[in-house]
Amino acid sequence: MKYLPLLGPVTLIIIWFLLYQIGIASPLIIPHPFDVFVALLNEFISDNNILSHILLTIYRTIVSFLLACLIGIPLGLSMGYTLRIYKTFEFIVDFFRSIPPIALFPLFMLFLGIGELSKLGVPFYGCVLVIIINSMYGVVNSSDLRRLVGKVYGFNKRQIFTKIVFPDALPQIFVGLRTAISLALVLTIVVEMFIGSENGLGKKIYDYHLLFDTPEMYAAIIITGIIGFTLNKGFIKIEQKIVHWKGK
Amino acid sequence: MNEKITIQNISKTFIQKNKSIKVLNNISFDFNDGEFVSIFGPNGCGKTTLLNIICGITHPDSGSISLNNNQVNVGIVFQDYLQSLLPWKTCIDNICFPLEAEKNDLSKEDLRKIATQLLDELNIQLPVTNYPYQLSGGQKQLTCIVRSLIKKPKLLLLDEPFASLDYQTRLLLQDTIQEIWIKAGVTVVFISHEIDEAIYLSDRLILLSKRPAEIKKIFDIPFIRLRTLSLYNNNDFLHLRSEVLEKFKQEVNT
Repeated sequence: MKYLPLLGPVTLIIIWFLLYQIGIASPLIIPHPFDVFVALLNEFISDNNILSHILLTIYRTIVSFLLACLIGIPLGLSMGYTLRIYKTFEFIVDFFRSIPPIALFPLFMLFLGIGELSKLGVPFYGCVLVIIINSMYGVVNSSDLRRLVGKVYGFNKRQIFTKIVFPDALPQIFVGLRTAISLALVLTIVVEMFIGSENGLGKKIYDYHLLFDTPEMYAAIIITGIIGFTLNKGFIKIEQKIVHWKGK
Repeated sequence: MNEKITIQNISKTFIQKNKSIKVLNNISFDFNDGEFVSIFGPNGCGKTTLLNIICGITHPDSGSISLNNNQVNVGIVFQDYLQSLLPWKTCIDNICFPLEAEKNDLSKEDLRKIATQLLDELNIQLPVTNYPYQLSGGQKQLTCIVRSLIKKPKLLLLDEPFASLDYQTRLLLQDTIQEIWIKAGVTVVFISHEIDEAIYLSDRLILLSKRPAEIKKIFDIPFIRLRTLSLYNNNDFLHLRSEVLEKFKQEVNT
């Protein structure tokens, strides 16, 4: 049982190796797993500065995510709690939610330039909508009976919100946050690839791609995967600690 | 100050899809201090509406309730204990939760002390540091019951508190409620769908009519306290039970 989680990755590498062996595609597309492993090590040993790229990508992911939390959670909560605010913003949120953030790249470049701002802006935009919607539904779906309990025991409107509705909405808010942090990484990478970036993992992946350094490209992709995986797992840990009652 | 709780000429009509539905019609009742009163009636006759009016959630169209003026201090226990408890708080913090509404400088520890004291007074043991999801159904409802008493209310409203519990737990909690009621000295309004339960626990039983609900009949239930389960086999009990059921059937069939 203990080693079961390792079975998947090992199988994947074996299949990869077999595909390489039967030569189904050119090594430019599917390189030898060992070459990729060497490239991965090499990234950290050589003076490629991979660490600073990694840190920059993580920095952009986290900052855009945090900004999105700062705006998205209060807005989503108030939309869920107040019908008038909900009615005011419902159309806007639903409309912009339907536009893939990537389609707005050109606009972001026009407004925010090709500097750091648009690199934060795009992931922020993608995240903030997810966070708004989940925070909103957290409130909308919070228990009516619990609010009633608050009312009967003499809590005022503000207290009912802070002591009952908000904690009740937390599990759903966390669903939004977890989706958003993964999305933030995805969008950060895409932005780094295509908005004239000079650094970041996305830029690395794109450069290796242009130079046909396939093993190095795979290595950078694997690093990205590890970051995403760690963020997600870390978030689940935090979630289990804070909303420990969820699903029980 | 022993001010009696009375309800006078309560009427309520709801408007739904442009149709007005009269739910309560001119209901008056005087509660004796510390009395256990059950309300029994056909499905959908307006029992819960009456309860909501008594605890101040719903306002009646006419009539009045004499409870310490505006600041209504009532405790209430709902059927759905899962939705009624706060899952992010431990059992003891759920019990003292109503106290958080008041503006005072009491710390969390002070509040917990008040709750522990109440548990001692009522002689109730609960795993107080557990979260609701770590409690059994009976323990959850018991937590709700103790919580409803934390502000020392004059009136305790029980809205089918046993309806979601299994039979064994039900019997157990019936007796627990009886003991709590005696110790707390509070007036209880108990809504039930179970005629045995209602008679077993009450001093008086109010039979409501179909909608719009009026008081059909008030039964006095004279059996001495402390009542035990053997009462269920008592001839007077069975006689009273059939009398109530007879009236109830008349009401449902007309």
